[in-house]
Amino acid sequence: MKINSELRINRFLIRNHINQWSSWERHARALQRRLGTILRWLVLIDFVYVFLFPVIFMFTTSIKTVHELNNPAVNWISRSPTMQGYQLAFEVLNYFDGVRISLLTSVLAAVGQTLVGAMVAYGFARMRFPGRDLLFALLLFTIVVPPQTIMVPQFMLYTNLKWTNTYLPLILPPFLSYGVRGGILLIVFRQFFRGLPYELEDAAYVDGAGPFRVFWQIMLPLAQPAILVVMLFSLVWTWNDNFTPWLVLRDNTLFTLTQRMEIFNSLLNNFSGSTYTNLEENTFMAAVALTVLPVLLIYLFAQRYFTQSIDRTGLVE
Amino acid sequence: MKLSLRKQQILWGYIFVSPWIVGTVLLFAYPLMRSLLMSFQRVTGLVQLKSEWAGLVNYSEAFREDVRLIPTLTETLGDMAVDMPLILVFSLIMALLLSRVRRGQTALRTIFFMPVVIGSAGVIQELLRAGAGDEIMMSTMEPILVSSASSPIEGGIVTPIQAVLDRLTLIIWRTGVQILLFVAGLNSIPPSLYEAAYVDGSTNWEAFWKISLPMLSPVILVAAIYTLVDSFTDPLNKVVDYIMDVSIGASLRLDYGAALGWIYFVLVFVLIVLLVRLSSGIIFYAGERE
Repeated sequence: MKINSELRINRFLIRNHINQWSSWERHARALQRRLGTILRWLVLIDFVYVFLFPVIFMFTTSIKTVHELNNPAVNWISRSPTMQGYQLAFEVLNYFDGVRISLLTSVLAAVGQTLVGAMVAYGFARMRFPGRDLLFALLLFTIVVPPQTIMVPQFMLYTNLKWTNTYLPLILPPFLSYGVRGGILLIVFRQFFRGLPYELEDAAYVDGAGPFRVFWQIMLPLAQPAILVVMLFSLVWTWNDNFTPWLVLRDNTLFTLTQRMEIFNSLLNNFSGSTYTNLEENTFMAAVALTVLPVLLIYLFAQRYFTQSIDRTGLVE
Repeated sequence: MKLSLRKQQILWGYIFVSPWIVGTVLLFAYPLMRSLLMSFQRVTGLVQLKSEWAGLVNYSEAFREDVRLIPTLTETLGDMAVDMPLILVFSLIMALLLSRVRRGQTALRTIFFMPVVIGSAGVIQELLRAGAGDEIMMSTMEPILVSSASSPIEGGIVTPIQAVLDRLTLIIWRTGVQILLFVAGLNSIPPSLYEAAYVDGSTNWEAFWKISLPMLSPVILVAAIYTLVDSFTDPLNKVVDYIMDVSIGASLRLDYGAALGWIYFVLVFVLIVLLVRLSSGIIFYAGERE
């Protein structure tokens, strides 16, 4: 961006020199540029609004009173904010239990996917062995096969292993780099490792380090940006996953938080003993807000490092 | 026994990728083959999972008798055809705007990426049901729609535009990763190219068409494939919903579900191959040698 602006100034100077521009023209140029910036920001702010709208809608609706929900005059800010929706949603979701389950599975899955994924991707990026390119083509192929195609035998496999109603199908596949969208995450790592210079490895090999040590002590510390990106993606995707949990978890006391939110309606009915008469949006939105809150917080804490990391990951060669 | 250096290297290569190979065999290759086999079988006993060879019975049922499959497939493909160009163009525009911003870029990117973090299918579904989609439509687009509804061009042009606007929130919320890809792609274009163009008197507009777009073309393909794969695994997708319903829903028809899964996969695969093939002439690989 900086280079771009310098360039523009350069270009400007060159043209100015050649054409002997009058100061009027120079002013017009400056004005045009400023107008461009203003216009750009107007468009950006407009889109920020569109992007944030559902989130704002969720939070503002969740604290409205029942009365205000039906009052069109109360557009955004509740005049008498209530936490009733949160209270009810909190109990219906059995919130702490749900958070514990979701956090346990997604953190373990993210750790597995990141560690094993880094190792596998390093093998694909830096080791030379027969059949590597063929295996990599297979890896690309795994990405485009919809999970629904292999769902039935997977379900049978987990049933035979007696893994249904356990969290093993959520936690163990990432340790074989087969977490949620594991293939894509492998490619992120591979791209990163391919971009690193060979000299460091060569020096370590000359000093007598073995391949695993080179990977563990030299390449992995360098891969910090990629690790952060993969870990966050893996964590978030596992948290939001609504495929594998539905495949293997049958007992709704074992459900992840995302699952609980998806069946909130029937949970609410069970909770109140009969069909709940007061199906208000504030409770629903409170449930959704409670479900996304942990990942939202993690993301907001990590985002500064995250955006920097994205730039350094070499996502695109 | 001491292995030669080259052999050691090969061995280590396999050791590094071994977890993935085990995973591929257990969690990918075996289930894939098994489901192919199953799609040609008829499950006779659900308890012991007894099954017998049935030939093409499941496939002929899918194409001849199933009243839901073909409509859901065509509907999903139709939606795809509308969504994909919109997602790509929109995220490219966003990335271009973002890359021009000097201050506040991190904050903007944080916001534009947020839907990826919290916008799971369930959340989107809940939000849309609660009316988050309609309301944004109303607040931002109502003036346009009202004025166009009374204009003479009504019908011809307004209907598709309205169809697009209806999906706006959904579409915008699915652009996070693509924006990310495009920003990364734009940042990786060597500044010297622009420098040369500007010295030769190029305008920004020309630079976009002659430099940015060709240099981005491989990224566009990646983003397109990502969009395709993403939408084809999306639980809001009706075909996915249908397959899930058939195979692990109340009816528990494992054999038929496997056949549907394979039909679906072949369709997705053909689309991706087509996409890669059609784009191969257009895409410009700057680093390409040989």
